[in-house]
Order: sequence, then structure tokens, then C-alpha cells
Amino acid sequence: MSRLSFPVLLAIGFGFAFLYVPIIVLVIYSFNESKLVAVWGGWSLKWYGELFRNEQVLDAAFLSIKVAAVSATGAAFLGTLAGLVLARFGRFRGRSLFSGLVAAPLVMPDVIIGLSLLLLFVSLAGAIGWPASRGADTITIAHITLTLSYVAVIVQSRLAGMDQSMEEAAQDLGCPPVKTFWLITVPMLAPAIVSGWLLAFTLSLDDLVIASFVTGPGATTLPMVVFSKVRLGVSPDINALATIIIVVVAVAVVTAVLISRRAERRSAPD
Amino acid sequence: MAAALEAGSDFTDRPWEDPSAKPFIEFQGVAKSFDDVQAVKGVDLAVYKGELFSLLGGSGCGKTTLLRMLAGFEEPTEGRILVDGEDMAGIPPYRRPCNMMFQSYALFPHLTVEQNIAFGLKQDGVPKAEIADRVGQVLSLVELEAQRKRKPHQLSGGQRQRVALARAIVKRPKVLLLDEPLGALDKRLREQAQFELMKLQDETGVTMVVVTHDQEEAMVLSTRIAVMHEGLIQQIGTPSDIYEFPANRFVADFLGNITLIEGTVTAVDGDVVTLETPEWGRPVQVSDNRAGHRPGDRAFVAVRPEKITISQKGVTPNSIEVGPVEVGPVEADASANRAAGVVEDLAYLGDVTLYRVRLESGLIVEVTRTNTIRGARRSVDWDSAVEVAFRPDNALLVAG
Repeated sequence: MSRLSFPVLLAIGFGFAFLYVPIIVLVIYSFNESKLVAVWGGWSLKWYGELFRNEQVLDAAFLSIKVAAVSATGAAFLGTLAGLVLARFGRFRGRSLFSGLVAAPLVMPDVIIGLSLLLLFVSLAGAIGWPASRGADTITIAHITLTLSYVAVIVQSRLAGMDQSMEEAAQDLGCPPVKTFWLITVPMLAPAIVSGWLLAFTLSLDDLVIASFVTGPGATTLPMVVFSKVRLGVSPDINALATIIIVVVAVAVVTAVLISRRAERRSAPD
Repeated sequence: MAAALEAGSDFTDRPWEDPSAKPFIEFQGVAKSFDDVQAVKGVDLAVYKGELFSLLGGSGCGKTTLLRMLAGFEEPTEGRILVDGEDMAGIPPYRRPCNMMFQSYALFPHLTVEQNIAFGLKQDGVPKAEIADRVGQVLSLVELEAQRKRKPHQLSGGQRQRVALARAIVKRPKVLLLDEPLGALDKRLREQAQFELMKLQDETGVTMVVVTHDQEEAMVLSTRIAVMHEGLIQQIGTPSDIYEFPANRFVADFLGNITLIEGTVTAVDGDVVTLETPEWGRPVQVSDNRAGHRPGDRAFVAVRPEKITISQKGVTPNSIEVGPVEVGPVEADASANRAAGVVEDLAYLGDVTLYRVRLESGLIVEVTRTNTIRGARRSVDWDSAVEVAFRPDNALLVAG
């Protein structure tokens, strides 16, 4: 490895500081003894204790995790199918339209997705009586819509880099197409599906805007609790909560990266 | 082969010459179009049991499409494919009696060597004990017993090739299809693998269809070769048939080096055809009239480089002569076709030296000469004035 010159080191240092100093400050202040957010009063785990006694926060965290897990699973399933269709079904009629529609949520502002889904749910409730009330279910559906595009993109790019002759080889050896999908395609796609799931989980956990639009009374996700608490003034237990979220998200993202990297190394051995 | 030998017929080694022999694989007027591109345009082909048949051609000639139609990955647009008398139309790849070795090997990366090989047997519901038995057998056949627990990414290129082969033969298919089987190997491994394939064919007697762009590979391996070009079969024959008696100019040019001399037929006397050719400079005689040429026809005289002799004609300053100059029988042959030229280029290849001689007309004649004497200095060198000659019975006539 070549030695880095001083200007390069300075630039790298500045870049990292720009990205991570606020987070580090937040993590440090989560261990603050003082009741005032901006005044250092010595080390303490007091606010973590406070947090775990706060039922509103715990309920919201539990709901968020449930919504994230269910919507990530749904998105992994649908996104895999979408990626498969895009990568393996050739140039069917309407392929570019489908590809554009799948990718749209990646670039669409959250406000628009949230608003349009809210309108959909309201008019559906008027037309067929479902969903009777908005809450965890509608948030889950909205999150599937948002995150399945990420899974589809990951799965599609993995399939594009995968030799199609493997599926042909399996069929040649006497394996019918559907069985080939389960025995050959899915195991080879597993790393992509897992990292897609983790990404979808993180996105769902983070989302405030869409969830605020499509939720109803009684379903409050963690980002919504945080946001409403901050509006009333920042209390120190928010720092503790944020620190925990950062750890969970960081673990999920790092795991996803490690899994996909290992898979790449394996498919390109030389 | 063993079964064929017991039959004791005169045609055991050449079933295609036996009019009563039944073809094992038959292509009847097979054509295939992709959108508006015609990849295969009407192919008739018969492959007999126990043959190692090669489809040879450049990229885009339709050879791979033909193989994929046989495996069932593509359906012919026209015509029929029969295997062992059974029409293959509508039969999906997983129910065909063929197994294929893919060009990329297509080994399953998440399965071990053993599991890769056992995959096909498992699909057929073969009992576990028998699977273990048969996998063990092919593993020892391809000498990979020590690697049985490894994953494909832990193997070398040659080992992967052998796993792919083992996986294709373990189901004892009626037909083994090989798509560029040795393409990804380096030269030394390729030679070894060629002989292993031939040995395998002798031991199992399985009918093999090989797709290759490598003429040397096709020559070494095959009982017969079909040379393809632009979706059509140009010639079917044994390697020596195709090399010595190419059916047309494309085949002559595609297989090995050849010098083509264009001319007009002036006289036909039985087998001997005389041509007027400005390229050679004087009339050329060829004792080959399979095509039945008549005076006035345009045709090409084709001569392989090893069938032309080269001799020095005057000494140039940069060639120092040491040792005897070989004089072939052609030197004394009065009927030989001779022409004068200058050595424009030469390549020392170890066993032979290749000379490119430019005649006065500008025609380049390729001549090889076997280096039979160790360390002999070249009597013919760059810019030497030389005479090239070939006998009428060593050349042939091909249509333009």
C-alpha cells in the first residue's frame, strides 16, 4: 500500500469528521449524567435505564421491529420475483415499463409515496371496506412497496452476473424448471436475498414520512415517537435511543455488506 | 467400441459407410431462426452409435445452436431431430437422453464435487447406495477422489473440467454433448484432456457430439467432422477426408494452411486437369477431377504446405550453407509444377520451418519443411531466390 501524502490525509480526515463527528457526539452524550442535553455532567447509564422504563418508547420500538421484519420478508419475496423476471425472462412486452415501475420508488420522494398510498387506502376502504382502519398493516404494506425495489435491484444485478448455464445444466441433468429454481437459483441468490432483506429491514426501521402518512390511531413507530418527543424539546433519553438504533442499523448494514462480498469472492475464485 | 467389434462386420469402425446401419442421432432438415436471424439453415446429419462426432466452425456458424437443439434448450423452427429413433420435438431438456458438458462447466458453486456429480442421479431417484457407488466410480475415472469434498472454487481449471465431465457421464446418457470441452484449458492440459476424452469414449462407448472452433482438437478427437459455415454444413467426413479432400474452398481454407491458386481449366485428360493461371505463371496440372470440371471452368488449385517442396536457386549473401540440402523425389519429377519466387518470411517452429514464398505474380505460397537434421543451418533464408514445386497428384481442385 502506498503512503498517503499530507493533503490526502487531511481530506480523508475532514471527510470522515464531516460524516461521523455528529454521530460520535450523540453517542457520547447518550452517556451524559446531566439532565440538560447540551451540558456535560459526567458518565452515566441513567438515560438507558430511563428509556427501558418508558413504555411508549418500548411499544413503538417493538412495533417498528415487527413492521420492519414483516415488510422486509414480504419485500424480499416480491423483490426476488421482480428481479428474476427482469433478469431471466428475456425481452417480453412491457419489460421496460415494468423495469421503470420497479425502480420508481428508489427516486420518488417519500412524501409522494406516502400521500399516494394514503389516498389509495382511503379510497379502498370506501370501495371494498378494506382496510377498515389504518395502522400497522397499512404501514407494512407501504414499506413493502418502498423496499421491494431495493431487493429487486440487488437480486437482478446478482442474476445478471450469474452464469445462466447453471440453470440449464440442472435441467439437462433431469431437474424440472421449478425444482431447478429452488435447488440451484435460490441457493445461489441467497446472499443477495439476505442482503436485500437486511437493507429493507433498515429502510423500514428508519422511515418516518411514509409511516406518518399511512398510519392510523394506535400505531406509532419508533421514528414517529422520536420525532414527536424532539418537538417537545430534546430529552437526554432520545440520545440513548438513537445510539441503540445506530448500533442495530450499523450491524445490519455491515452484515449485508459482508455477506454479499463473501458471495462475490466465492463466485469469482481466481 | 467393444460391442461393435463383436459384430465383426466390415463397417465396425466406419458405420457411416454401411448402407444398412441405422443412424443413432438424426437431424432432418433442421433450421432455426432467432427473430429475423437464421442461425441454422436446413441441416441434415446422421451420427452413428459410438461415434465421436465434431461440429467444427467459426463463431456464429450455428454449431452451438445445433447442439443446444439436441439438448433441448432450443426448439427447431423447421425439421426434426431423432435420437435412437425417437422424435425429440416437444421433449424438455430434463427428459432427454442426453447430458451436456457446458463450455463454462456450469458447476454448482454451492455444492461439493461429490454433490455436483450426484445431482443428476438424485433427480432420477436412484437409491442412495447406488448413487454413492456410481459417483465413486466416475470420481476414480477422472482421478478426483482426493477432491471429492471440495467446492468448485477450490479447484484448478483442469480439475473443474474433469468434474464437469464426470457430472455429464455419471448418468450414462445415450448421447454426451460437449460444448468446447477443452477451450478453457492451456495447451498442455488440453492435449492430456484430449486423450482422456478419447480413452473415455473407448471405455464407455458413449456417442459423443462435440462442438469446437479448434480444428486441431476436432482432428485429434473425432471419428467424423462436420464443417459448418453460416448455418450450413459444408462437408462431413473423417479428419483425413476433410484435410486431404476438402469439398470446397471454405473447408480447404478453414482446416490448416493451404495455398489456393486461381485458374481457368484449359484441358481435361482423364483425371488430369490442366489450368492456365496467371498467379502461378505457367500452366498447372492437377490429377483430381472429382468435380468433373470442363475446359473454361474457373477453379482453385489447392495445395497443402507440406506437399510443396522448396529448393534454393542461386546463393544469396545472408545464407550460409552447412550440411546437405535435402532433395525430395519431386526434384526429379518432370511432371511437377514449378515456379520461381523469393522467401518473404519464414518461421522456425521447432519440428518444421514454415516458409512464405512470394511468386512474381504476388501470390504467396506457404511451404513447410520438416527439420530432420539437428542443428542444420538453413539453406534457404530470408530473401533467398527459390523454386517451389508440387506434384499433380498432391494437389486438388476446388470450386471457387
